Amino acid sequence: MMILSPLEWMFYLAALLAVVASVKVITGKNSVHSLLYLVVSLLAVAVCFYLMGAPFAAGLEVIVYAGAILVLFVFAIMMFGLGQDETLHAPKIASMRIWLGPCCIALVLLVQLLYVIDSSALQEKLTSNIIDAKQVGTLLYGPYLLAVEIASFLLLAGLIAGYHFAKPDGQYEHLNIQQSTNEKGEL
Amino acid sequence: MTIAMLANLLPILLVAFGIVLTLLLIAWQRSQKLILAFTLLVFISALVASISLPVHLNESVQVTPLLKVDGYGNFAFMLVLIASIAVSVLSSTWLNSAAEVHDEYFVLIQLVALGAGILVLSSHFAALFLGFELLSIALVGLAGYGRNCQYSVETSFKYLILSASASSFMLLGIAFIYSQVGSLSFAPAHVNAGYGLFYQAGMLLFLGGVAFKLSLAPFHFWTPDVYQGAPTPVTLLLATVSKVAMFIVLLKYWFSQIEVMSAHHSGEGIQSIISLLAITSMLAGNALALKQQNIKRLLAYSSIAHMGYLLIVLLIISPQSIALAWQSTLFYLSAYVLATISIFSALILTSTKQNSTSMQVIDWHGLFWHRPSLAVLIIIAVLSLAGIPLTMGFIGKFYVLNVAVQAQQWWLIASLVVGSGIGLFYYLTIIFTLFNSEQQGSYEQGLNLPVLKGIHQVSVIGLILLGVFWGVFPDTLSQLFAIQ
Repeated sequence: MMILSPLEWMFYLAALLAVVASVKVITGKNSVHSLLYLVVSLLAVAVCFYLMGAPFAAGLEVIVYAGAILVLFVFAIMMFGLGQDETLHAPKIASMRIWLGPCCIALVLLVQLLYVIDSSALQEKLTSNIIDAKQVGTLLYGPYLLAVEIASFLLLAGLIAGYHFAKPDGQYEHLNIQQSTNEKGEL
Repeated sequence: MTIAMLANLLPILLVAFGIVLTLLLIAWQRSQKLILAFTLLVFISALVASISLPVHLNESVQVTPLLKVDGYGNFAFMLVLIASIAVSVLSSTWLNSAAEVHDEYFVLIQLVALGAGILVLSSHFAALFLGFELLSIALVGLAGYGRNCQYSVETSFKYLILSASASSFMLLGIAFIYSQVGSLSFAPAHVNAGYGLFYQAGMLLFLGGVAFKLSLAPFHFWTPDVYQGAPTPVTLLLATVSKVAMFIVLLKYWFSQIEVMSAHHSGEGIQSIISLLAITSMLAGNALALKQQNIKRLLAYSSIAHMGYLLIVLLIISPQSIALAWQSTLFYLSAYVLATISIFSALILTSTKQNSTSMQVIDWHGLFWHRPSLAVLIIIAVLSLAGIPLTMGFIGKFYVLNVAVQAQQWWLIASLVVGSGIGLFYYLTIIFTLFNSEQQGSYEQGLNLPVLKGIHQVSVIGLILLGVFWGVFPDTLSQLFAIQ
């Protein structure tokens, strides 16, 4: 049987936490609680990246997903009055149990991170081959320039499709009027 | 990047530039006729650029690590552009019914064409995945485009969720393959001996993602619903552009792996899975279409069977027959695209605005006596799909059979024959319906048919002539991509 090194132990623990948190995301009934687990799941994935010696990817994971996108997500859910769906399945008493789970997982992740940062042997392993932002940048704007361009078109496609679905119905008549005046103008 | 590289990418760049200009055009003037004309201009100029591209079949130009322009991909891109032109022209009749300016519709069609173009030229998993996602996202927007129509939300949700899960499977597969090969390129520089279990698992997951898009048999459940619920021109887009692009990219990846596989016999498991997929698609597609009355659902099942037939070309055993396999694929796809465009044009031109999702075969009852040109178009398209001699579909099937005989895949040949036999039944039913004039009420139905405009009449006759011409003289088409 293979004996795992401490680093591998840490990695598999973080990966397990990510899986557990992800399962909790899809089994939860309340979407805000699920989102809480989703944040934790992404943090666990970020720790995984860090333990594989990719601190840049880990940082991006935290900043972009856990930081920006999910905050936006929570914000949107709170804003758009999905309240009735939420309160229907919400537990009667807002007990500590709701935030206890995500909190525990996050705490374990924090302990892991502190342990790895504290241990000099592990640090030596992790910092031997770091890919920094500059290297990523030169690759993105060198051989993979076309990928960046295609990705921008992908975002455009998502934007236009999203706009089309979210467009309020009332706009139909408004546009109709505008169109008829336009056609008159052309004539 | 050098100027020569850019020149080889010109067709793709024209479409991309066209999208940006279309956005500017929308900001300047919102008029549906103008934007349709501009979209057609973009597609036609890209088509001209790709016809005049100085790339021969057996040579290829690597443009950055991501894309590789070769003759096969270029021809496939022409097919994509022709199908996109047909979709844009046909959409104009459908879109007139609503009161809105449909400018985002045409932008989305151009984005689909761009995604397909990236797919057919890709030689790197990053380009493959980005092109795949671009195609899917734009198609999701299009599939649910008529937001007030029946089934539209269901259609786009089904397509969105299933295509997202397919792409996540594919991504995991790519990650597995990368973990073994160490490179995301289709043809890595160093090939090690003995890729293990993860390579095969990755291959399988990747194949699953592609099979979803091609709607091969165990992954076909979305197809009839989405075909039926989407607006008819979008269904045409799904049936042609998306399938051509996915099949070409699958072939590019597969043929680059053939040598690796034949080197150390790791491909046998995957090959048997592919033949299983092909056999189930051929049989299930045809069997499910048998009792189907709704035309769009029938075409969905028939497309499952066609992709099953075409999958046979993947099963060549030696790298020597790659050129023949490419030739068969391109001819088969041309026949399939032309027949599909014909039959969908007829479907759009005979359906009234309300019933496009519920067009039954019986609605074409006695069509020959009211609209002979449309009926002839349908007959040629259906015969070509069924693979009757003197049509393109027959030659295409002949090519595929040729490849299968060379590879000695007798089970596949048997199921191809059985599948085509079952297929004849429902294809011929359509033709009999066209001539049938016994039932009463057919006369009234003739009155309900929309009037054909002059331009439609011309394009219908053009499609008929093209179908007959290439059916009788297939050499004129096949020498475009023949082995020199």
